[in-house]
Parts: sequence; structure tokens; C-alpha cells
Amino acid sequence: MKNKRFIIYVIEIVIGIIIEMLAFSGITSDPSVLTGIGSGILAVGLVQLFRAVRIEQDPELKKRVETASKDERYAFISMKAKEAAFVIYLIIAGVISMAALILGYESLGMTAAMSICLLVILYTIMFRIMAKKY
Amino acid sequence: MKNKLEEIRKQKGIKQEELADAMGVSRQTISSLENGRYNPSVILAIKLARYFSMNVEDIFIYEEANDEK
Repeated sequence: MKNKRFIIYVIEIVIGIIIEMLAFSGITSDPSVLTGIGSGILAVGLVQLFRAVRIEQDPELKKRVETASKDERYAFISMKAKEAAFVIYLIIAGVISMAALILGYESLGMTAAMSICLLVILYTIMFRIMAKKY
Repeated sequence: MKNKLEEIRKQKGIKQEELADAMGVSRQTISSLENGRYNPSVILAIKLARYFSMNVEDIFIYEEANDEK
């Protein structure tokens, strides 16, 4: 399990490096998108690997992290935070959507409105799936 | 929901850290339980009751008027 985790982080780093190399090889006329994706994946892989190594080397930290991953209160807080973030996002996107449409930024307004629709549809689908599961 | 967790824990001379270790939760969770900021799951409530060789109702007091989500 531990090795599997390390392998995933190394794969992330390798994928990040490959994407960076592709970006600089001139495969596209605008490498900024590939550079952004590549550096993002590379950074995530490096941070996760660094964190995993640090945790492995510190038994006290390892115990704390393991406890936190199983702690029901942390899971509860995480769920509440996601719930709040979801509602806040809907409000912000709604305000942006209306403001953008009023000010004539139709593309931005429609994108924000569509993201609200997507979230609501996803919520409805997930609610039905969860209702069957629990 | 109110509880007597802090009182019972202190009576038994157990530290928050020790109880947290035994329950497999963080010390902050025990602290939140004792302060009444967090209500435990049924599983944790039963584990706590078994740890102290008590009934769940001896530790946790459910009051309908203060019922939370």
C-alpha cells in the first residue's frame, strides 16, 4: 500500500516532466497551456512525494496523520466545508452570471450560469445515487 | 446533546491523549466532544461507553429541545 502510493507520486512526476518536455519541444504553437498542466502535475507529485517521505521518517507525524485520516470529526468537518463551499460557489457564480449578463459580458455570464446548471445536475444525480446506496 | 465525558474521564484519571489513542481519534475530537461542540457517531459513542464500562446513556444525555442537525 505504502509502495503503491510512492509509485503513484513518481508516476505523477514523470507525467509532469513528459508534458513539460512536450510543451518545450514545439508540439503546439502556444505552449502555455501544456506548461501550466505539466508544471501543475509535477508540483503536485513533488509535494506529495516530499510529504510522504517526511511522514515515513517521523513516527510521531505518521501516527498523527493516520489518526487524522480515520478521525470521524475531521470527516464531518470536511463534509461540512464541502457543503458550505458548494453553496458559496453557487451564490458567487449566480452573482457573477447576472452581473456579467447585465454588463454585456455574455460569454462570461453564460459560462457562470452553465457551471451552476452543471453543479445542480451533478448534485441531483449524486443525491439519487446516494439515496439508493444509503 | 450534553455529555459527562470530561467528568468521567477525570474521575478515571485518564488524559485526553490516552482516551483519543484508545478511541482512534484525535485529541481535538475528545476536546470537542467534552465541550459539546461535536456529537459523536453511534459507533464512537458505543466505543466510549465500552471503554468506561458504562451505558451510552450514562455518558451522553439527549435533549430533544436542543436537537441539532
